[in-house]
Amino acid sequence: MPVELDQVSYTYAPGTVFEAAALDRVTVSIEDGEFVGIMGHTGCGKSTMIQLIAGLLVPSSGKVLLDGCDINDGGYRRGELRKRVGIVFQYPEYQLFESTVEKDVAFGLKHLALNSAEVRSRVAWALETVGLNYGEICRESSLGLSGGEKRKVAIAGVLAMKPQILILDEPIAGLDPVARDSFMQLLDRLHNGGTTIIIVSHNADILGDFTRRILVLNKGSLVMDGAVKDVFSDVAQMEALNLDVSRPRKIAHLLGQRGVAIPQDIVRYEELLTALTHLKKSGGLP
Amino acid sequence: MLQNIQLVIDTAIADAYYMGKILYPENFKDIEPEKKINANHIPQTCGESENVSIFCDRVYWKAKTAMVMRSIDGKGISYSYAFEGSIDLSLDDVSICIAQGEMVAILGHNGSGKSTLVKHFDALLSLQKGSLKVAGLDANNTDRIWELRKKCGMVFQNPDNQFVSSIVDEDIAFGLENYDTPIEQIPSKVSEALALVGMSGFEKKSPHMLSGGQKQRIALASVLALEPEIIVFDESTAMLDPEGRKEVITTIRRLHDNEHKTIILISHYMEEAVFADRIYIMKNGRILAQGTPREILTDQVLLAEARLLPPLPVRIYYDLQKAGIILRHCPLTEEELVEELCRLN
Ligand SMILES: Nc1ncnc2c1ncn2[C@@H]1O[C@H](COP(=O)(O)OP(=O)(O)OP(=O)(O)O)[C@@H](O)[C@H]1O
Ligand SMILES: Nc1ncnc2c1ncn2[C@@H]1O[C@H](COP(=O)(O)OP(=O)(O)O)[C@@H](O)[C@H]1O
Ligand SMILES: [Mg+2]
Ligand SMILES: [Mg+2]
Repeated sequence: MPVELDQVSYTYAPGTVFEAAALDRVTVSIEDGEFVGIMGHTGCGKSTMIQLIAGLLVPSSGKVLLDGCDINDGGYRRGELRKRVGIVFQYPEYQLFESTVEKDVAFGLKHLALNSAEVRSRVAWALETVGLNYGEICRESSLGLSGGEKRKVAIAGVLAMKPQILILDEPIAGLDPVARDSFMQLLDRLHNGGTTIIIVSHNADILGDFTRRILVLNKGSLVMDGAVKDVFSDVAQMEALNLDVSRPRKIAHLLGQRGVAIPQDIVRYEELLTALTHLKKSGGLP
Repeated sequence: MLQNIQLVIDTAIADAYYMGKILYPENFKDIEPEKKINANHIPQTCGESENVSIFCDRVYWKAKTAMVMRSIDGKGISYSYAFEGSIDLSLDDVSICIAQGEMVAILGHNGSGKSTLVKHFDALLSLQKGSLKVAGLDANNTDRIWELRKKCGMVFQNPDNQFVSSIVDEDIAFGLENYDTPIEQIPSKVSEALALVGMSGFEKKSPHMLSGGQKQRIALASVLALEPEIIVFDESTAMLDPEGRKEVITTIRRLHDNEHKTIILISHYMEEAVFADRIYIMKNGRILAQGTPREILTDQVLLAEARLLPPLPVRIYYDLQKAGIILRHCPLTEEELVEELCRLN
């Protein structure tokens, strides 16, 4: 089920002194099974955009379509939306409020008519998937976890729902480097299993390694939309938008400026490494 | 010999070394410049200064920590959230010593105990076991807890929940009032603090209208207004975009370089630790290692044991080595890497 935004605008608190235009006529279509990254500096409208997709905000104008149906139409079944679209908020730990980790992860499953064995196995699966030990952690209080652990539990709660579209707002902030990597591997597996993934992140390395397509927002408008290579190709433009390109891309760019003939479409670590070894062998490095 | 050393170590460091050696010989017995630095080690070109610079760094902090002015002096700290004497320790016999004016990064996997440790520094958690002095004050002494909190400020991760007022200057003034600052001094302290973080002119703005990096700098200004000796940043850049991250890191470095604040920086971004004077690595509630950024961040075995990853330039260095390409020095930053690559022959 493709997600489409059709000329979507959103203004917070219209008609008050706090009026803030957050999104301005954004049109974009995301197909089933895509792995899409969203970038843009603070306040450019990323969180607003994904809350619109998840049906948590209603557009001021324009339409949000899921499978061709307007999700804000009076007749649309909201329950379907909740089951199929999972969203991990920017500070997912604020979604935790139950007495144990197990109950927190199981919270969303209440509406899915599963028996208790199924619930337990889903919870265990979700916790193990985010790299936590089910047996060790299930009876602990969510509030007594470290920052990164809380974030993992909150993400597990969304994964347990097995949504077809998974939207994540800065999910890797606060995760340690290994957890960050294994979390992205997990998203990659879900993606390979057919889940549509939409991830907001400032981490260009991670987006470069895992996503196929990047959307760039600036002041509420969609200013770039394309394959990762293409979006990262113009380093100067990304800098002007105060955004990073992936570090392998940046290093290739710096080498290029020093007159080294290295390909300028490098995005990932392995690509950089291969190019450097190749250059050395062919005498391309000084 | 003295002459040689001063060729490579700037005078201040050498002075510190000799003073340290005289005052605290036992701290210096494993450092013998006469043996380690001889004419062969004197760098011919700047590129060969690596060994020397590692050495200097070590002498430098040894000298500094030896020289009495300790901002943090903790020994044998253990802590359990469950109850005292529990086997489930979040901190397990941690000793940490940070010199005044030093910038120290604490790295470690999720749940390794970083936040638990630094929460002891401003008495958000009270000591269960061990001893701790913060800016010379005993952390156990509950009578002086407010004095201690004034000396040791904290900036946290989430830029959105560190404000009490909807106007920037009121927010900063609030902290000052709490600490009984004479009312007539408040405006000047507020504007000095804002100037320190490069946010003069934002007095009457609402924090909620600012970017993430600006919010964090206002949170920092609130801390700075109290003129702390120590500032702890617990993942203060985690939620920021690249611009905000740069703003905050630049501000932190300026406070270290110019204001000589003691800085403690917790981060999951190894690149941010590169600029620290020293790094502590934590694992499962213990200190696994400490040393200069160069020592720690280029040690693949250590980082793997700590369940961390080396910075990207270090990874490239070792991966190129495997492919038979030897860079002369292991780079820590992207710029250093590019230099090394351009110098290959
Ligand atoms: N309030 C609490 N109650 C009980 N246990 C806690 C509490 N806070 C932390 N812990 C536990 O103490 C250990 C250390 O946590 P701490 O928050 O210090 O880790 P951290 O190194 O800061 O991790 P992160 O990188 O995820 O922020 C963890 O095992 C955690 O589960
Ligand atoms: N609840 C809110 N009330 C008023 N304005 C808001 C609210 N949430 C966001 N905004 C404003 O909308 C714009 C876009 O915000 P947001 O979508 O959160 O951006 P991002 O996620 O890209 O940082 C910003 O100008 C922000 O100040
Ligand atoms: Mg956001
Ligand atoms: Mg922490």
